[in-house]
Amino acid sequence: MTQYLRGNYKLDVKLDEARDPADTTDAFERAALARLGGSICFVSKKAFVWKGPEKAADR
Amino acid sequence: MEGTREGGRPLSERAPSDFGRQLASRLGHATFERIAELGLANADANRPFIAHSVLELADAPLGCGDAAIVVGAGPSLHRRKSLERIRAARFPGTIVVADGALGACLRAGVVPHVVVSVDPHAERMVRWFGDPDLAAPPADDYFRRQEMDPTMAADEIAANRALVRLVDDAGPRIAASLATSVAPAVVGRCTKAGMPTYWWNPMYDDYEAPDSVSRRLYETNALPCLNGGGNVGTAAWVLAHAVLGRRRLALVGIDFGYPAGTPYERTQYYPELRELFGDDFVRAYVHVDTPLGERWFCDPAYWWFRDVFLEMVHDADAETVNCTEGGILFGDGVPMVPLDDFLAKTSGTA
Repeated sequence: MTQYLRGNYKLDVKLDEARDPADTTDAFERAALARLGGSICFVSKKAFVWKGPEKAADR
Repeated sequence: MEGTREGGRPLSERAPSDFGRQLASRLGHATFERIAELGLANADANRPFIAHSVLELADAPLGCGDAAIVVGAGPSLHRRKSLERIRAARFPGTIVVADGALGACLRAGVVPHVVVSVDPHAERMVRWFGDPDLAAPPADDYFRRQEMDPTMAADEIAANRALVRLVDDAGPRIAASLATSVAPAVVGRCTKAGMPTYWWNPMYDDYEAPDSVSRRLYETNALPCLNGGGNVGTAAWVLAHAVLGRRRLALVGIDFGYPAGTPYERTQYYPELRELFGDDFVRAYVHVDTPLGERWFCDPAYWWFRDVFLEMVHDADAETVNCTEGGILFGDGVPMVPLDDFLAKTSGTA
């Protein structure tokens, strides 16, 4: 996974271990929603098939 | 994920009439979180077995003409005896099926040209192809519980054994269109059954975005990325027109829902909804009155699938009609048409 997901930024703040209750709720909701998702992604307003940067994409 | 606390209230506190639709509107990001890590790990594991791009399927000898039927595993497939009617009509065009519908097709005597599989789950999906290693009913009741293949509910082991035989017999005549995200067990099963395999990457995100996961994946295997629309049925439809070039498409078994009266515990996401929302889980289902005069309901995921399909259909260079004769997929660009009408129009002309 890490070979595909790379951060393009550096954090210049110190993270506070004590989290806001709202953040906790958001994290719970993200985790909960992930369990309700589909089996493949949908990318809006993009080609049906992307054949790579050198080739024309079908739309 | 944007707006998870819309209106300042957690999701679970919202009005029942909107709750399911609001959940559905967030499932694009949720799906990435659900499947990306495992799908990418499977892509790594599957790399040694990848020999053919799905684009090669466009030149393969499939059905005649420009018509195709895309088969999903929804309850209408059985309620409307769609497969029996397709077989009786001797449909000459191309038949593309979701993996969950493969067993029903073969039992009905319909050997599809292409079966599509995308879900990265490590153990479940191989069962759609018959699992030769299944000796006892698993603790996971996914197959016993659902509407998608009723034979699994009656006698899971006997049904699996029969499916193994059917797939072994028909395998060499069926092309397996596999997303790189599928579990290695699915790849092994398809290969053992003699299915030629044709590969593609699921489109995980915008391939033009900085640090796109889709583009990185493409760079590792040079396979095309397909925009899957959230589920294997929609992915099969994308394959039929955007890869195979079929221009007249009919959908069967693409319900995206359950007929009224279906017990909630027999719906796909019941365990998750029950665990997340407790006794209040019913609020998450969306209820729909259809043009056929029926009432259906669906999980939030199925509502999202519907919304996505209705968005995608307008960009397709093909005519799509929904011959499911049930379900919640209808609207601008997706007319509901009797299956017999489509079969009559395409018989001998496909």
